[in-house]
This record gives sequence, structure tokens and C-alpha cells, in this order.
Amino acid sequence: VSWKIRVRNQFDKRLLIFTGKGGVGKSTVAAAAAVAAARRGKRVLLVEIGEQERIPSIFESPKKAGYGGASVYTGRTSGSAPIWSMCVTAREALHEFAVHSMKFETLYKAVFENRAVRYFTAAAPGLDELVILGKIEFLLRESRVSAKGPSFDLMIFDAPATGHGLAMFSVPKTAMSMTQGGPLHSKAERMWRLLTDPARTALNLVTLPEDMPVSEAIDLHKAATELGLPRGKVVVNGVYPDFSPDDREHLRRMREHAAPLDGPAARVARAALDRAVSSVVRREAHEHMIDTLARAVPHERIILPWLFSPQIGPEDVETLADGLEALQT
Amino acid sequence: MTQAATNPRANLDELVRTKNVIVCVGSGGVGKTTMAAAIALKGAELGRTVCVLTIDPARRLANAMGLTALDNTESRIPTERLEAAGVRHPAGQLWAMMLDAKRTWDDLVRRFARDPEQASRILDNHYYQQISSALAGSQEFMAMEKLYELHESGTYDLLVLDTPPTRHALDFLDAPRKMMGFMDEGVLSVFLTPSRIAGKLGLGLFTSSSAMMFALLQRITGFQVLRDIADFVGSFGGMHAGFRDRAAKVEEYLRAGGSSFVLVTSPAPATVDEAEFFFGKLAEYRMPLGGVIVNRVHADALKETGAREQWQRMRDDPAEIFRALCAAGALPLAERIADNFDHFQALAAADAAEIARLEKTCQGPHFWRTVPAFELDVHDLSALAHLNTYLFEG
Repeated sequence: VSWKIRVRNQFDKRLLIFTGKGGVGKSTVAAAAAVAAARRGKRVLLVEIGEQERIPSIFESPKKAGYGGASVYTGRTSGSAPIWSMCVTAREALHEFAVHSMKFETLYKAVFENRAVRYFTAAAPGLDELVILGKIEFLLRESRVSAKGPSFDLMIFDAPATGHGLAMFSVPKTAMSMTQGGPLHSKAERMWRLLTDPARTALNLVTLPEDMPVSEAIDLHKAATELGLPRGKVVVNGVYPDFSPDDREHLRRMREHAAPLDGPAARVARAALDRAVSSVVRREAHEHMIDTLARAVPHERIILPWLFSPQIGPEDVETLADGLEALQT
Repeated sequence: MTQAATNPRANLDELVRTKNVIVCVGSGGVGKTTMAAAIALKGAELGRTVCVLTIDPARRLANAMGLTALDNTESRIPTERLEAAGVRHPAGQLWAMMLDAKRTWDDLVRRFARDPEQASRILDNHYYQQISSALAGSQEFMAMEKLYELHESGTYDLLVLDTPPTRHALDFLDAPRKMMGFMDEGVLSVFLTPSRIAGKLGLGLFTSSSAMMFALLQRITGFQVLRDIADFVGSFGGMHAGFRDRAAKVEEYLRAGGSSFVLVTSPAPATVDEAEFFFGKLAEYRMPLGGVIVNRVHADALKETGAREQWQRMRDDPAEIFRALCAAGALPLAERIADNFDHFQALAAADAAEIARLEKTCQGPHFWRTVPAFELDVHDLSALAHLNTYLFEG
């Protein structure tokens, strides 16, 4: 039995996880959450996983952060702490873990570059997830980006898409049941305690206000609840701008009653009107999806605007960070 | 090059009419599942018996197909529902299935076991239960298997496979190789000495250096799976050749003439990057690319001659929008209409640039289709049928 301390302000926790279906803008939202936290003076480490790094390019940082981590951005609000980013791969995490456990690089090579062991580690499902979560837990325990790197207060974890994302978080539990005692068991147990501790951790679901992402967010919420991951917020990304009820009505009437098109000016004006009505239709569909989500998932929602920029850059991230300051409430 | 010259560019109609397998690949959120469902629907419309299957653990396909539950068995979409969506052909059938990795593993074990005792020994094994259940990664192994199983059953003319997002879809391409590697005799021989391993763990009395390495690994990590694995693989005795042949067959089958890959992307820069990456991977694996679908494209509304200049004048005096439409309205609304239109035009320009970039990288005799960004989501059969007017020529 542990004392569950209520920490409402997410920026006062240690690990904020952002997860959701692919393509919902999860990495951008995670980056914006980092900017929002850094505005409050928090020293943030943003962690993403996999071979293709995305976070530095969102901040237009020329260098890759890699496994060692790098400072990728300092927010425009004065007093913002620099944001560090890191890209964790299972391969590097396994190597680090093994070398750390065995002390000798040559021994690591003998064991992990053994053909049979290599096949086993490539084929063993869940091993990648385990070593990645192990790295995350280790980083948080040390509170340092690396042995000689700066310390950080808060980790923001850009976690993989829905189905695989949840599978990842169930791995420590599975590992605990597969190991009886030993260093790996206690490691898995520490990961599991971290992931399920509402004082330190919050799981935020990112979605778009569209049919399939919303139903997946609802499934994800159910699965996260079953696993016992601490509830954060639902971030609805990409919501179309609002037109007032009068304007909506007016735009529709204009389209219905528009005279037959004659001449280039009328055709161009009509194209502009069509796009405006299209925005209204999408906005209404978005509102409907947000209602559906609200009925199924009790989390507080953060609504983020649709950004009309084709390539997300720091400017956009700063805009989204305004909305994500609500993570404090 | 010569092939492109002599062969007219392939189209999706042709693939749906002639192929046995179409695999939709691409990064997350680009509408892969929707495309897979739309392609399958077209197959049924052409009178084929089609099954669409997804290996994504999330329930996307169920939504796209308007089904409430999908499991490891195929369920048929009622003819009335197809007809209601305007799809009619006396012979056409549409089936859908969502992969249950655990059950596919179990079926595979039962199939290759010498006898029911061997099957139940494996099915009861602790390690087996772990790798075959919810753990990440095993979906990919099993998707290949299920696809092949359905193919072998001969029930369907066409199988359409939806895959998880890029990074995992790569796992998906890797799956048969990984499986073959794992089933490799040399690797298995390490495990296939259960008496030595189980009896003398950690005592250094191994003849196999690999076995010794495993013992060391176990001592370092405290990971007690070795015994389970040894038992597991031991109980597979005589089965691994079957597994290996099968994995090799699956890979060969995907590469063969009856299969085709469709790369789905959106024009967003990040997904175009991933599409290029994926294009390279398919070539590397020698998988046949049928074509590319660029989804959610914003169209340029000012393509007509002189339209741009016309808009520029209107932009300078937004009230002109109302006048041109013979309508009345307040200036702030006119300005919003103008801003909104500029936003869309900027997106259209960016989309066109990204598509040009992608076309440059992904050259070949495959088809190209672009699908516009719709106002509303595609989530029922009628919407899928409408989508097909953009995907198909006939």
C-alpha cells in the first residue's frame, strides 16, 4: 500500500505520457507540452523512440538529439528553460543496459553478439519495449539527461500509436510474471510502479476530432483504465475554427440562394464561399465528435486549433503550447 | 525504363480485377484502413469474393466497415448493406476480419503438432503463452501467417491486407525473416539440449558455447525464461522445419505475381518522408509495388486562367466577394471568408509541392491516384463507394 499523493498540476509530476493513433499530431502535442512546461521554468526532457527522429525537426533544430540527448529549443517566453530531447532506440538501450550490468564491453560482445542470442533478442516479443521503458525509468531515477548531462525535472514521453502503445505499457507486468526475483524483476517492478503512480505519472490521450481517431481514443481510454495507468487529459488536436451561429447560417443561405454563376469573378467568389461552408461543415462535425468523446471518456479535454501550416514549426508549437498550459489545472 | 515504355502505367482497377493479394502500407493516420476497405468493396463490385483483414489491434476496420465486432474469423457484410451503398454484383462477396494474434498462433501450433499431446504441451507452456498473447510484435508474425492461411484455403479471390503504421509495417516485412532466423536449426540446437540446460544451469558444464552464453545472460539479468524456452522449443521437436518452410513460403508468396503492394500516404511532409522511406524498403525486399495513393489532398481552387489575378483583386477588397455572388453580408465575415480561402490555397500549394517531391522519388510503372480531403469522414459503405470514384477509373 502506497500513499497516493494527489498532484493536480501535471507539470509537478515526473512523467507525462502522450499517446494516440498515428497521424493525430502526438509528437507535435508532446513538443508543445514541453514548451508549456518550460514556460513555468521546468527543465524538460522530451523522449521519443524509434529510428526516425521527429522532435528536433519540429523545433527546426539542425542537429539530431540521438540517444545521448541534446538541447533542441528555448521557448520565446522569457524565463523559459531550454528543452532537451532524446531519441531512444531499443538497440542502444539494450546495449547500455547490458554493458552497465556486465561492466565489460568485451563480455557484452561475447554474449549479445553471439548468433543465437542475437536471434533470440530479435525475435523475443516485448524485449524492445522492456529495455526502452527501463531506460526511461533509469533516466527518471537519475534525473539527468546523461552521466555528465544536465539534470531535468520533467520527462515528456512521446509514446507509440494506440494498439502498440498500450502493449508497450503492459510489458513490465508481463516481465514481472516471467522473472522470479533477480535484477530484471526488480527493474520491471520499478517500471510498473512508476507507470501506475498518479503522483508521478499521467497518461494523456491525443486524438483528432474525427470518427476513427475518436473511437480509438475511447478504446485506448478503456484499456488504460484496465491497466491502471493514471488518467491525464484528452487532447483534441486540429479542431477547425469556429464561425458564429449567425455566420454559419448566413454562409449556408448564401450558398443555397446564390445566383447561377456567370463570369470569372463569380466563380472565384463561389470557390471562396464553398471553402467557407466546408469549414463550417467540418467544424460542426468536429463538435459532434467532441461530444461523442465527452460522453465516453470522463477526462477533462484540451481543445487545440487546426493549424493551417503545412509544415509544423516552432511558431505553431508556441501556439499549441498556449492551449497546453491547461495541463496545470 | 523499357518496361515503363512498353507497358502502359498500371491502374488500380487492373490490380483489383487480377491480383490475389493487395497489401496496403504506409504511415499512421493516412487512411490506410479506409483505402483497404474501399479496395475490397470494389473487388466485390467486380464480382469477386473478397476478404479484407487488418492486423492493427485497434478497431479501425470495424469502424470503416460499419461492423460492431471483428474477430479472428471472417464475417460477411450482408448483401443488402452492399446494395444500399450502390454496390451490386450477383457474384460479389465482401468479408472482413480482424486478426487475433493469439488465436492464429494457437491454430498454427495445432496444425504442425505431431499429435494433440504435443499441441497441448506447447499451448500450456509459460513462455509460449507470453509470446503469443498481448505482447507487442507478435501481431506481425501472425498477420503473415493468417494471410497465407486464407490464401491457402482458396476461399477468396482477393485478400486485402491493412497493416499497422510504417515502423511496425517494417516489422511486418521482417516477420518471415525473423521467424526463419528464430527457427534456424543452429539457433534451435541451443535450445534442443534441454537436459543439459535444465540440469546444469549456470554450472559451466556446457558443450555448446551458445548455451553457456544463455546461462551467463540469465545470471546477469535474472531472467528465468531459459528453462521455459528450452521446454518450449524442445516441445516443438520436428515442427520447426514446417514453420521455417512456411515462413519462407509466405515471403515468396508476397513477392510473387499474384501480390501487389499499395503505398498510402497523405501530402503532409512528415508522411511523405515516411512514404519515401517505405518505397525504398519495398524495393529492398523486392516486394511488388502496384501504386501510390495520396490521400487528403487539398485541391487548388484557382486553376482557371486568370483566377489568381481575380482572387488577388477580391482579396484586396473582400466586400467584392459578396458583390460577385449578388449577396449581402458584413465586412468582417467577408474577411473571414477570404482568410479561410487563403488558408486552403496555401495548403493546396504545399500539397502540390509535396506530391511533386514524392513523384520524383517514387518513379516506376505503378499507378498514382490522389484523393481529395473530404469535408466528412469516410465511415460507412456509401462513403467508401463514393471514395472509389476517385480511386478507380471504371
